[in-house]
Formats: sequence, structure tokens, C-alpha cells
Amino acid sequence: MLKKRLVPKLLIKHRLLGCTVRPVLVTTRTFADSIEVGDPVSQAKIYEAQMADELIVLNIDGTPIGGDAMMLDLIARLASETFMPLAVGGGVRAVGDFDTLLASGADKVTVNQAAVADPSLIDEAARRYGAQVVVVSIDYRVVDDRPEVFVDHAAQSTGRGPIEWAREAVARGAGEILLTNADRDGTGQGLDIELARELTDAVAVPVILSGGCGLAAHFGEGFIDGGAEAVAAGTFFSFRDQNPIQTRSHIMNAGVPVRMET
Amino acid sequence: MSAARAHVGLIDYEAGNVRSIENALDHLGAQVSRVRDAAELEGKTHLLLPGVGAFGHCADKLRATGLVPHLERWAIADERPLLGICVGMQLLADRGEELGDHAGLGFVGGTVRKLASAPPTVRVPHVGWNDVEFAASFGDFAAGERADFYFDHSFAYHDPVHGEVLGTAEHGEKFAAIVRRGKLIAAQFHPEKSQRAGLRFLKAFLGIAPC
Amino acid sequence: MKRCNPCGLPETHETIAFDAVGTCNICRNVEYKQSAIDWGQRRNDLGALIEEHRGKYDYDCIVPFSGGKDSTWTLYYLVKEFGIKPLVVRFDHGFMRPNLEDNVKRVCRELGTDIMTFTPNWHVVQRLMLQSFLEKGDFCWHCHTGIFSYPMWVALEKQVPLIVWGEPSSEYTAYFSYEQEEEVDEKRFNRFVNLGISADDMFVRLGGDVDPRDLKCFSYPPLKALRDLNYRSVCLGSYIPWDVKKQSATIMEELGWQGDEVENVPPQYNYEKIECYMQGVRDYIKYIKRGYTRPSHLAAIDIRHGRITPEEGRRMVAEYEGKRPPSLDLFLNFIGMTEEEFMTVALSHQVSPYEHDPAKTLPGRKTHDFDQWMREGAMDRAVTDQMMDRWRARNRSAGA
Repeated sequence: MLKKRLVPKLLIKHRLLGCTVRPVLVTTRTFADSIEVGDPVSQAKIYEAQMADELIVLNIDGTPIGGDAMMLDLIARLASETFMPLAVGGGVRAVGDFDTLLASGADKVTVNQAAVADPSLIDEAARRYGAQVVVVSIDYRVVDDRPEVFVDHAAQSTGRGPIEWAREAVARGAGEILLTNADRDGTGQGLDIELARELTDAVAVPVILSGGCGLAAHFGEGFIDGGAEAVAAGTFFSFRDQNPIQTRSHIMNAGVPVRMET
Repeated sequence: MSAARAHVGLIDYEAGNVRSIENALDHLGAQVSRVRDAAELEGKTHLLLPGVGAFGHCADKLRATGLVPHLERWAIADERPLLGICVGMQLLADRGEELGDHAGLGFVGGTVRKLASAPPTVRVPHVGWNDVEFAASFGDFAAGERADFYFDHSFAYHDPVHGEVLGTAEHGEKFAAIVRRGKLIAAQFHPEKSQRAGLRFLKAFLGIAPC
Repeated sequence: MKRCNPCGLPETHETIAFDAVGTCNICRNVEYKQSAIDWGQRRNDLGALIEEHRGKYDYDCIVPFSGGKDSTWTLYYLVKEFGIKPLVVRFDHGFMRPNLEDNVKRVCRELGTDIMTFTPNWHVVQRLMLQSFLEKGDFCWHCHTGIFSYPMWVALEKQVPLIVWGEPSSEYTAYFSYEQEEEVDEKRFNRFVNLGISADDMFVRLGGDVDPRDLKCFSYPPLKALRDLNYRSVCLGSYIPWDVKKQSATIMEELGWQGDEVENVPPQYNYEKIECYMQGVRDYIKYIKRGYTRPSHLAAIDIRHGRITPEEGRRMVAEYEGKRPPSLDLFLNFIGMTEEEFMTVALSHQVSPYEHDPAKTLPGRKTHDFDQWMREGAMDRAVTDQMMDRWRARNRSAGA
């Protein structure tokens, strides 16, 4: 039976530290304020040791990823030093970027803004690489009680609803939807279960939920009440004495199937 | 055969993420080199056929390398160890139904067809960790043993008419997770992404005697 | 708080899970150890492992050593049972007690071994203690990481592939189980030893404001180098069944190893955690976070090994647990904090559902050597201010 997935989300910025510019792991709050929390390769290895199921790695520097040598080098190192499934994105602009990222070591590619701007990108990527490689990432905020899809690091509204956009993305070939509530991001108040349920009822592909995990119980809610196949967390593990192994016990105790170590 | 004496030829036909596989094989102590043409098959004890992408696209790319007759001789006539992973497994079928009807290499036979989705519980693509039940022993996996491996696919392998089902998984329906024909092994999941179980699986493959 | 029926550990204990009858996974793990393992075979495996390495290198193995009961037992066992030539490697966290230092000398003179001790830069240690206390509610990061990394660097330097540690973690937590092989490697280091922060991560968290060379002794060596050495890093407790009471009695009798009075711990446990004079603070922080600490831990072990009843355990815990240790005054000076600030930080790390009530805390007793503990090396308050400001800003930002 297919297990549910616990997915640490690694947000990457390029920073000057000591005397070199290097990729650094950060966490964010409502998609603003980034705080530096560690070295991405080190954290990936730690998450691997702590039995995380896969990793999402997102470049949030705003640079196009295809030409970002530092980011591509990071992906290559992650693929060389861990045995974890990697979904990579942030600044994916064209189908050619899929090729570049897969060749660097990614297993799946997430695309956000570029897909909203030109949805045929999804069709083409799915045709060439298969739906299972294409993750459409949707960030949203709630404006006057209505959820709206935002782009450009959740700074700009598209006016579209996330459910309607997700349906189109899936119809065009997206294999997974990554849904992130930008208002809840890093706040620890819990996932947006209501919208999650609406989405998981609306599409037949796996949904990865993100934005707001603050208690281990929130993960269980995402799976059981929200219908998600995976829950992604960026901030949750970074500031407390929390690790995926402790969270896994909680989830298991709530009756959610998780993978065993064999 | 110990993993440390294996020299794996990794078929590089621009349709697979080879870095992780290289990492995994290296971790197990095997030597690994990329193979782009027939000359580079020389000196290899084991071959590995990866694959990411649509069936037809990958089939075309593989045929374009000119390696197919050599792979057939290696795996079928000479009965030397070959491991196919993900689409690399699917290509060994007679045909695949992804984006039209495409001919496979037919080494293990059978059909690759789309998994049926049945939301909310059965969603396609089949993504994540699912258990595989071993029909027979393989390396240190015992017959009847179950282990979780990482899957990411929408199409699944059925009826390996020239071989046998070595491992079964279930997602809505049962399908062949591992097939075998002699020393030709193929897995739908990604052993290089499946942590300890995946390494055990690769080690079992490397343990197959070269000749 | 929900508790394990036999051993009494609460739900706030790391990795604990309760089965259908209310028994915890650690109790079950220890049951497995006592009933399902062929210890005869394991002992043979150990013998084979040692013979594989005997005489081929400058030392037959490295024994990472503190001088506490577990490492002393490990050294004693290996020398007495196998007559090996070990290199004893000590990582000095900065807080060794006088009796402990005497024990080390006494034991190593008795058994006849070379000893190496490394003490990291105190200024660096102070900042690491403060940073890890702020971020993880655990100031011992430098010690956890140093103890498990430094001997690996020595193994590489001296080209000694076999490293033998003491107790397996499966005796106390469920990060590993007795059913698995618990190799003491980087995976284990990352799984729980380093609190989820490597030296590379610590460099980032300190804002790059430290010489990376200062963090080397806290970082795990590259896997490739260790594999080239064909390293084997194992727990003695994977090959012989661990029993701290029996083992402590033996080293006392055979080596003259001496126990000591320990802050806020019943006197009959004079073998436990005698090596560090910050032990009382560590225990106190754990109590504030999780609502239980060392007396509960000791009671649980004794209950599992049938030495006391759960009722006796409960009484002992009620009498000794949760007191304010006198060593806290030294700690506050070492990291430059006031007690109010200390409490604010500790309380921010509470593990639900426990809610700590500081008003209920009673003062604990001083140990006999309290006045001998080194008090010098106070933190520069400006550094503390800077680090705490950054932590507060992050906490606001993270909605914590």
C-alpha cells in the first residue's frame, strides 16, 4: 500500500558568508523575511538520516534556474551525496530547464510562475518527460475571503482561483500539485485544511500540501482531513528540538501509513 | 560476486538521471562507467539501463545509440547481468501505450499500460513509497519479504511473457514491480532513491555472477 | 501526561510510542534485547572483529573515552577479555570533575593504555553553548558533536580503522532498535547526535562569524576518507548485553573506579553521569522542557531490569526530580545570561503537552566538590546580547 510522505522543503538563497558566496538554506515567514538556517547539502543528509521521504529544493533568489551554475552544482551535489528523491524548482522558465535539472540530478521539476504565464509549458514538459516529472506549484493567499493564486514569490495576484488553475494544470499533464498557503507560511498555525480538501476532491493526481505546520498533529490533519499524499514543511524542523523521526511517530500514532526502515 | 569487483556499464542515452545511480553503485564499492556506444561495453561485468521520460521518446533515443542489438546479445544470447530501472524496465516489454502505441525491445515481453486512477485513494501518477512483495529470494531479500521502495510512474508493467514476476506492488491494481529473465532484472521503482532497501536491491544485482 | 505503564517515562520522551497495552517502545526494545538476541553468537562476532584488526595497526582499536561508567566498562572489557592495545581518546567538554579525572588516571594506569585528550577553544565553546541553547534548548551541542566526531579524525590521522564505543542508543531511545545493526557512523550522527545541526549548519547559523577551522573538531570527517580506511565504528553494546548496574559494580571492584555525588540524583546512583559539572543544568533544562529528567530515566532503567518496582520508582522521582541545581549559577556566567533570560529561553522549548510551572521548583543541594569547579572564563555580555538579539528577531520572524 502506498505510504504518505513527509517532505522537508529546502528554500535556497545565495549569500555571502565568511568570504564566499554560496547557496544557503533559509526559512521564510509569509514568503517574506528569510532567516539563514544551514548548509543545504548538510541539511539534506541530516533529513535523509532522519527518514524524510523526499526533498523539495527551491531556489528563491528569483534568478532563472537554467543558467544558475551555483544552483545546478548544488543539485548535482545533492544527487551525488544522498539517496533521496529530489523535486527541484524556483526560476524554471522553459522546457529546456527540465532537461538541465534532470541532467543535474533532479527526479522531478516544479514550475510555478512560468506555467501561469504560458500553460502550454506544462503540456510540452509532460509530453517529453512524462507527467510524473512535472510538479505544478501553486502559491495562494486569501484576499477578501477568496483564495487567489499569487506569483512572483507570492507578491502578485493573478486573480485566478487555485482550484480552477490546478484543474487546468492537471488537464494539461501535471503529475502532482504542490499547494502552498503563503499567508500561513512559517507561522506554525496549521495547514489550510478546507482548501486542501477542496483541491484533493477536484483533481485525481497526488497533492503535496504546504504552509503552516507548527505541531506534529498538523501533519496528520493534512493527510487525514486534507486528503494530501504528502505534506511539505520548511520552517517546522528548523527552530525547535523537532526532527522527522519524532514527527513520524506522531503520524503513525494517528493511524497514517508511513514507510518503514527495511 | 562481491560488489567491489563489479564494473558496471551505465547506458547513457540522454534519457535518464545517471548521477544518483552512479552515486549508489559507487557507495556499494562497484566501479561504474558510462556507456555510449558498443566499444564502451568492453570490460564491463554488469550493465544498467536507466530511464526517465515518455516511453516512445526513450525508445527512440535508445535505438539511436545503436546499442540495442548489443544489449540483446548481452542479455539474451550471452545471459549476462543487466538491470533496467523505471522506463529502462518498461522498454523491455513488447509494447507501451504511453502517448500512442510504441514498440519496446521485447526482451522480457508483456505490455506497459496506464495505471487506472480511482480517487481519492488511488491517484496517478503513482508517487511515493510502496511495498514490493518478493515472489522469490533475491540477494538478501527472502521469498515473501516485503520492503518499501520509491515509485514515480503512471504506466505499469504487465505479463512478462519471456520471464517471471520477481516482485509485485499494488496501486489500485497489482502490477509487476520487478521482472526477471535469467540474469536480466528490471525494476519499476528507483533503487537509487530507495535508501537502505534500494541499496540492498542494487547489491543483490551486483552479486549476480557476470558469466 | 501519558506515561508508559511499567517504566513511567512520559509521552514527552523523544521517540516514545505506546502500544495497545500502554507499554512503550523502549521497554519493548529492551525486552527484545533480553530475549531475542543470540548473545553467544554476538560475542563470537566481536571476537572475530577484533582478531581481524589485532596487531596490524599502531593500535588495535580506538576507545572513545570520558571516564564515566560506560566508557570505563568498555575499556575494561576489551583489555581484560581480549588483551588488546587500545588508544584511549578523550574529548574534553570543559567541565570534567576532579574525581572523574582521578578515575581516568587510575583506570588507565591499572589497565595500561595510551591516552589522548583534546580540549577545544573555550571562546568557541561558549558561543556554541549559547547558540545551541537558544536554537534547540540544549547547550551541549559542542559536546555531543565533539565526542562523536573527534575520535573519527584521530582514527584517520593514526590510521586505526576500528573504533569501539559503549552503549547503544537503543537502550534509551527508539532512533535505533536492537533489531538493527547500530553502526556509530555519520547517519547516526545526523539522525540524532548533532540535534539536526552539522558544523556546516552551525557556521551558517552563526552568520559566518567564526573561523571555519574552529568548527573542524565538531564536524564529521568525509565518508570517503573513512571508507578508504575501511573503518568499523561499533558499539560494544551490540555484542554484549548492556547492564549498567552490574558493569558499574565490576569497574568499582576491579579497577577502584569511584562513583560520585551527582546534583539532584539519589545517592544510590553514584555511578551515573559523574563526569560533567554541568550535568545538573542539563537535567534541569530537560525538566523544564519535558517534565521529567534523570531520576525518571534511572528509575525506568531499573524497572526494566527488574531491580525496583514502578511504585518505588515513582516515590524516588517525586523526592528528587525537578530541583534547581547550584551549577546553574556557573552556567549563567559561562554564557552571560541572567536567570530570567535563561528561563525565557528554556520555556520557549517546552514539548507539548507538558507545561512547566517555575513556582513549584525547589532548590537542590551542592555536591561536595562544588567549590573546586573552575568558574573562570565568563562570557562577554556584548556577545550574548548580539546572539540573543539575533535569536529574538528570528523567533519573531518564525512566529515561534
